Amino acid sequence: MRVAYASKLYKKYSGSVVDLLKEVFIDLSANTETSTIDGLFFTQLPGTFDKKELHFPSTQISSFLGIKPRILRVLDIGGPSAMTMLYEAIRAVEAGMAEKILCVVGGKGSMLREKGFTADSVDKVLPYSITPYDELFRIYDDMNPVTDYALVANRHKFLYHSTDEERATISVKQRKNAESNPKAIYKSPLSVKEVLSSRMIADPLRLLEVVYPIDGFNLFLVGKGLTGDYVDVSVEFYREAHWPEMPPDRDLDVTYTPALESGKGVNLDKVDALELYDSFTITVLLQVEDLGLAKKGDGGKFFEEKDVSPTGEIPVNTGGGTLNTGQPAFMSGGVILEEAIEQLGGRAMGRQVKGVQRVLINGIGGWNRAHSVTMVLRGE
Amino acid sequence: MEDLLVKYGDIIRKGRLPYLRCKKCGYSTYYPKVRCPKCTSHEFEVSESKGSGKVYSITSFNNGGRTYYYAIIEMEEGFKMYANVVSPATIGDRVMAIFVDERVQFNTVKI
Repeated sequence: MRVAYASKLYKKYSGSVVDLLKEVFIDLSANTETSTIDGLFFTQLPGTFDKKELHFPSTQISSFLGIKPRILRVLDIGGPSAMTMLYEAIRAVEAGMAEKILCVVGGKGSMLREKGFTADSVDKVLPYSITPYDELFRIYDDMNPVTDYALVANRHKFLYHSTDEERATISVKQRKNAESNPKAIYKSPLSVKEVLSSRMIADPLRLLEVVYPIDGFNLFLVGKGLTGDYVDVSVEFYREAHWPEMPPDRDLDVTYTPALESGKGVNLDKVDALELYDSFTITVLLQVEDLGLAKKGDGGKFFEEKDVSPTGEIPVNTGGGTLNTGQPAFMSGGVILEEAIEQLGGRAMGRQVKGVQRVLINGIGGWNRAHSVTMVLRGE
Repeated sequence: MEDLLVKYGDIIRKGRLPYLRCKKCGYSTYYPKVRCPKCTSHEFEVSESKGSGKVYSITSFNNGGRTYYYAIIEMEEGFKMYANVVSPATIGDRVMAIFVDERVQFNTVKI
């Protein structure tokens, strides 16, 4: 299947969110024919659009972009939405439901960032509710999602004797990978010592382990008949897992993520590079364990021992991830998916994995780590 | 849900910690749900916890010049819940439910 893509990332975009979308859509239109798009898949998190939230967002976005759709879908699983949208778009095109489907991921992260909140704590600053029982859960002093991931990181340290240095190594090695990524906003070399002396956000997670929310959109256009500039890919593995219960209600320890289930059956030996969701260092570490790259507790050691650079034995987050590009609208999925497609299309310039055939992308989402999507894309 | 939240609220105002208990299999949880995830029974009853538990995990952060402690607490009755702890604690510490501003919080227990 052919996939065209475009993206723009800004620390803070001065125009409206739809102006930003328009900019990226014009870029996409310069690469490929977009006047014949007949499908739209869209995702949005609260507090990332200027007007708070679009009612019937797929209709509004479709109208604005001038798309007359045969198929419209909205997805709300946050982080891995991009992967699921791409997968569903490929299936829908194969089933003849549309010819060309546009997947839209992004929005503005700067508005909540400047107030000191995120989409996962939007209810503290805007009139949103994030559970049906906020009076039992959202009354506490927290800084979700960082405090929730901090609880996981401390539990991980307690159970498996993992160290702050191990997590810091993830920041250091991803930063190294970001050096040759033109989209990265952080490129200067980093040491473990620097990570561990950066400001404590929520013990044990420090500033340089936490993604920086930004403004931006990633667009992916899927179709058999795309013209112009596109990459040919096929889906070799796709599985999603949802653990909707509150983490304290789960049978498994909170150090497990649904990647344990979505990654079941994936053949890691055939994967040439991995793009793992990186909202925090601990998120990457947990996926390494739950996908089976390291045994439980050894995710940090994996990063200390392995060369994860694009020329290394097992390339991970080849563009440095969103820890270094920033995270558009509180979802890293679009950025890591685009990196995978660039790798498969041989467009990753100074960070190209040589001879790459298959890339595994794993997304984690939801304020309670409810969702995981594992996908392996193969270049054609 | 509204009925349940009213029942929870009444218990919390009495200075006690409510939770849901499955009448059939005894499974306990703090967060409202329609059916028991263990035995699929719909028969949940609102119970009162003894308020005694231990720290499952904890973090701290500063905001506005104050340090806050945010934790998952594992209660004697078996359920776990998010809440603030009013003082520093580490994983495994015994804690007791206290009630501040009609919020269930926890304090460490000296042994």
